[in-house]
Amino acid sequence: MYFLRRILQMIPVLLVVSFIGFMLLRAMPGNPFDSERKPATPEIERNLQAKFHLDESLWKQYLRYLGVVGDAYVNVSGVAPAETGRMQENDFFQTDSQPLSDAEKKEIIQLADQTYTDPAPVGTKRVFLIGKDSETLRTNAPVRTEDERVGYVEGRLKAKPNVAIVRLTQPDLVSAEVKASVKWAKSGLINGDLGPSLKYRNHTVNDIVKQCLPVSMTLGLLAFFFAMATGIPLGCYMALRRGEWGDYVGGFVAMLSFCIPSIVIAPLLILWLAVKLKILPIALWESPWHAILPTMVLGLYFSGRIARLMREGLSTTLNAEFITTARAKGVSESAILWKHAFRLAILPVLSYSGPLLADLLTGSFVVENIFQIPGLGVFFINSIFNKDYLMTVGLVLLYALLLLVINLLVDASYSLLDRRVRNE
Amino acid sequence: MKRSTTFLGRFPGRLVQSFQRFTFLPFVAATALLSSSCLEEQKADIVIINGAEPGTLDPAIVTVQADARISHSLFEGLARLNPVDATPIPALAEKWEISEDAKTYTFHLRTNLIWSTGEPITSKDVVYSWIRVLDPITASEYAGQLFYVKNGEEFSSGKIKDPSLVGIKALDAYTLKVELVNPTPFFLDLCALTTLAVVPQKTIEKYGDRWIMANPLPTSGSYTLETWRIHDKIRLRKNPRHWDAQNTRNNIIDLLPSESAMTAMNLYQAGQADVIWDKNLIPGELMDVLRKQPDCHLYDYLGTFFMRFNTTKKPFNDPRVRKALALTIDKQRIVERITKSGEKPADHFVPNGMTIYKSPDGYGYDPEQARKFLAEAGFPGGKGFPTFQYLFKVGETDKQIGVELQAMWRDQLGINMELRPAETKVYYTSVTAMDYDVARSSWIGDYNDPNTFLDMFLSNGGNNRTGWKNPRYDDLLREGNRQLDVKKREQILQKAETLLIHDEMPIAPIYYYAGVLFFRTNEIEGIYYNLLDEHPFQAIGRKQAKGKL
Repeated sequence: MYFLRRILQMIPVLLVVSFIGFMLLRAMPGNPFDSERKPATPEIERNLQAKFHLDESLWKQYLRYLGVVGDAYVNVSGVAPAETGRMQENDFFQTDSQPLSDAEKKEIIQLADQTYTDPAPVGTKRVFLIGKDSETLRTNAPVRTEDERVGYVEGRLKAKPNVAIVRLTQPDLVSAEVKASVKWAKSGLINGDLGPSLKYRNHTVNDIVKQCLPVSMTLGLLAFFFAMATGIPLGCYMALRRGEWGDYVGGFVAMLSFCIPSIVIAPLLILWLAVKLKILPIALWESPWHAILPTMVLGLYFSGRIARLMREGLSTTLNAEFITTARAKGVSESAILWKHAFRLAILPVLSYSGPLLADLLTGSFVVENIFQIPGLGVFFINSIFNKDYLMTVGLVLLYALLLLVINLLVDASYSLLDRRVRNE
Repeated sequence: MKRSTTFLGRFPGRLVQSFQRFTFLPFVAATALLSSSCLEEQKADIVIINGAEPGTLDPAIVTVQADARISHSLFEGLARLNPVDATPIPALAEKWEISEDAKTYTFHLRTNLIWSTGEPITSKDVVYSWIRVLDPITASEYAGQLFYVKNGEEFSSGKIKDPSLVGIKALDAYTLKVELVNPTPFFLDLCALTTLAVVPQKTIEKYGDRWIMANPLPTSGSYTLETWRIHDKIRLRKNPRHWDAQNTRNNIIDLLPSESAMTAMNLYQAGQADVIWDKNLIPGELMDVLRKQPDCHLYDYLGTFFMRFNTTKKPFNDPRVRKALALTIDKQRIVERITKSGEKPADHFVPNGMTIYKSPDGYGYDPEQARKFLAEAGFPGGKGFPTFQYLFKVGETDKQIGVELQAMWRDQLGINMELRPAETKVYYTSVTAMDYDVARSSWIGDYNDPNTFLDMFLSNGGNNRTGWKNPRYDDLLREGNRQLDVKKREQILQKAETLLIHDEMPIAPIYYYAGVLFFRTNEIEGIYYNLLDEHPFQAIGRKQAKGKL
C-alpha cells in the first residue's frame, strides 16, 4: 500500500516538474531558429514556428506537450480522393459518430469553393476532414494512418473552422474500398512521446533518448560500482584506524579525489595512460577497454565522498551502546563489524547513493565530452544552449523520474537493512 | 524504419558479453587490447573528424557547412563542385544549354541515373526536389537560393499556390527547362548547392521529418548512409549505383562528431582519425605550434569577419561616426595577435579571389583620419560620445577581439565601449531584433560570386540587420545582376560595394577567414584548397604505398 501511494505521488511531482521546466525554458531569451542567416522570407520563418507550434500561447504549447491538446484526433474513416481539381460530394473524411447529411455536404463544398478559389493542380488529391474541434486541424498538421503519413492539412474553411481540407500525398494508401481507419498520431507526454527535437531535426527526443540512454547508463553503472568498490573499503579502513596515520592518509586521498575536478583529472589520465603508455584508448566508445578511463574519472569523485560517509557511519556505529553491549557479551570483533555495525553504518551511503545513481545514469557532460562518448550528458547542456526546449524538458523529466524511482528503491532497501525502519 | 536497431548490437550490450568472457581483470591490458580489436566493426578507409553532431542531413533543411558536406555526399544535384577549384561541373545533368538572354536553362539529365535502391532518377525527381525546397511547408531556410527561378519567391511566400507555375518544368524524363526571373550569372553555382540536391519523393512522403533514417534510404549521390549513431559515428558506404561510381576513391568513410578540440587532436595524433576539418576542433592555444607541422594546411576561403553598426541608433546613424570607429581598428594586430591562423586583414567586404570580381579599395588603419571624422561628427577628442556596447558571442577569440577593440577605441578616439557577451542564440536574437550598438558578425559565401556577399545589404534583405537602407545600393545591385557583360557587371557591383565599405560603412570589415585543415600530407590525397572550403568525399583517397616509403 505504501509503495503504491509513493508511485501515485510521482505523477503530480512529474507534472509540476514538467510545468516549471517548460515555463522556465520558454522564459529564456533566444530563439531556436535564429542564426547567422535569416530565412528567406517571413513566411518561411512563420512556417518554421508553426511547424513546432511555437506560435501558440504558452499554455496551449504546454498542454500540447502533455498531449491533452493536440493531434490526438482518432478514428476517421471512409475516404474517396478527388480526381478533379474541385472538391466533390464524396471527398469526405467522415467520423463514424457524425454522419453528414447530403445538405451539409453540399454546404461544405460551397464554402470550400469560396475559400479555395484556385482549383488544385491536376494530380493532387484533396479531401475534407471534419474534426471534433477546430483546434486539432492546424495547417500543415500531418494526417496519418496507423504507421504512415498520408497527407497534411492544407487549410481550414473560413466559415466552418472544424472542416479542414487535406492534401493527400499518398492517396493510394487511403481508399474508399479499404475503408482505412485514419487517425492522428498519438502524441504528448501521456502517450510517452517527448516530442520533436528543434535542433536535431531528423530525430525525435525519444529517438535520442533511446540511443544515448543505454550508453550513459552503462557508463554510469560502471562508475557507480567503481565508486562503491573503492569508497566503501577505504571508508571502513579509515573508521577502523580512527585517529591513526592510516586514517589521515585515507582521508587525504578521499579529499583529493573529490577536490580535483574531472576536467583536470581526465586529461592527466589520458596523457599518462593513453598517450604516453598507450595501454588504454584515448577516447570513443568501441570496446570494454574504452570504458575503463571514463569509469575511473567519473567514479573517482564519488568514491571519495562515499569513503567519508562510510567512515562517519561506521565510526559512529562502533561507538554506539549496542556495540559496547555486544563486546561485553564477548562477540568476536569481526562478527561485531560485519553482522551488527556494517548494516547500520552503510545507511548514510545508501541514502546518498540514490541521487548519485540518478546523476550517474543520466550521463555527465564533462566526461562524455572529453572521451567523446555518445551518451545523454552532452545533450543536457547543449540543448539549453540550442534552445532545444522540448529536448531539455524531456531530459529533465527523465532525470526526475529516475530520481523518484531510485529513491523509492533506496527507501525499500532501508527497511531491509534496519529493522527499526518501517515503511508506513 | 529506425536505424537505431543496429545500435543494440553495439557496445553497451557487448560490454556485458565480453566482461563475462574475461575474468574481471581489466588492467591486464596487453592481451585484452588484442581481443577487443576483433570485436570492432570493419575498418573505414578514411576517418574524418567532422564537427559537432549534425542537426540534419536533409539537403533542404541543412544550414551548417559540416552537415552539408555529408548531405551532399548522399544527395547530388544537377551540377556538383569540382574538388580542385570548387567550380560547378556536370553531375546528374550531363550537359545544359543557356538561351541568348541567359534567362532559360535547359538541362539534359544522364540517362543512366538510378537511386541507390535501384529505381531510375528522372527529371520529375528534380522538379519535386526543387519545389520541395520552395514549399512553405518544408520551411527551408535556404529557399532563397531558388528565388532566381520564375515565381519561386511567389510560391514560397504563399502568393501563388500552384507549384506548376514555378519556372521549372520536366519536358520529358531526361530534359528540364528552368526559367529565371533575370539573367543570373551564378545560377550554375546554385545548381551545385546542397540545398538543390535531388531527394527521394516516396521516402519523404512516407516518413515525414525522419525520412533520413529510413532503411533503405535511396540516395542520388556517391554514398549511401550505412549508420547514423547520434553523437557516435556516421558511416557512409560507396553507392555502387552512382553514375560516377568508378571514380569514387574509397569504400567506407567514417565521420566522427566531436566537440572537444583536445580530444579531436588526441585522436588524430594517435592515428585514429585521418582528417580534422573543423576549425573549432583545432586547439587555438596550440596554433603557434601546430601551424608549423606539415599536416597543418592553411588557405584562404570566402568568409569575412566584420562588424555591424546599428544605423538606426544615435550616434551610429552618422556615417562619420561609423567610419571613425572602423578606421581605428588595427586589423593587422588582430590577425597576428589573436586569430593566428593565417587570416588576412580586410579592407573590403567581398573577400579576395573571386573569379570574376575584384573589390574596390576601402579604408585601412588610419587613426589620424578617424579622429578627424569623429570631430566632424561633433565629438572632438571623443568628448560627449556616449558609452556604447559591443555585442559578441561568448567565446575566447571573440572576447579577445572585443578587449582589443575596447583598448583601440579608448586610446585612439577617447571613447568608452562596454563588452556585452551573449550566448550564441541570444546573440542572434539580439542582432535580428536590432537590439545592439555595435555587433561582431561573420558571413561565409555560398558560391563564387560577389552577389552572395553583396545581396545581404539590400534594404529589405533579411540578413541586413543594420537598419541601413540605400535605394542606390539596391538599384546598382539589381542592375549589376541583370548585366550580361562580365566586365560591366564587375564595375557596377564595385560601385555598390564602394557605398558599403567606403561611403557609408554600415559595416566595418575586419579580417577574412582562413581555412584550416589537418590531414596526413603523405598519406591522404584529394583534399584541395578552394575558396568555398568544399572537399567532396569521393575525391579523397589514400596515396598508393609507393608514395609512402
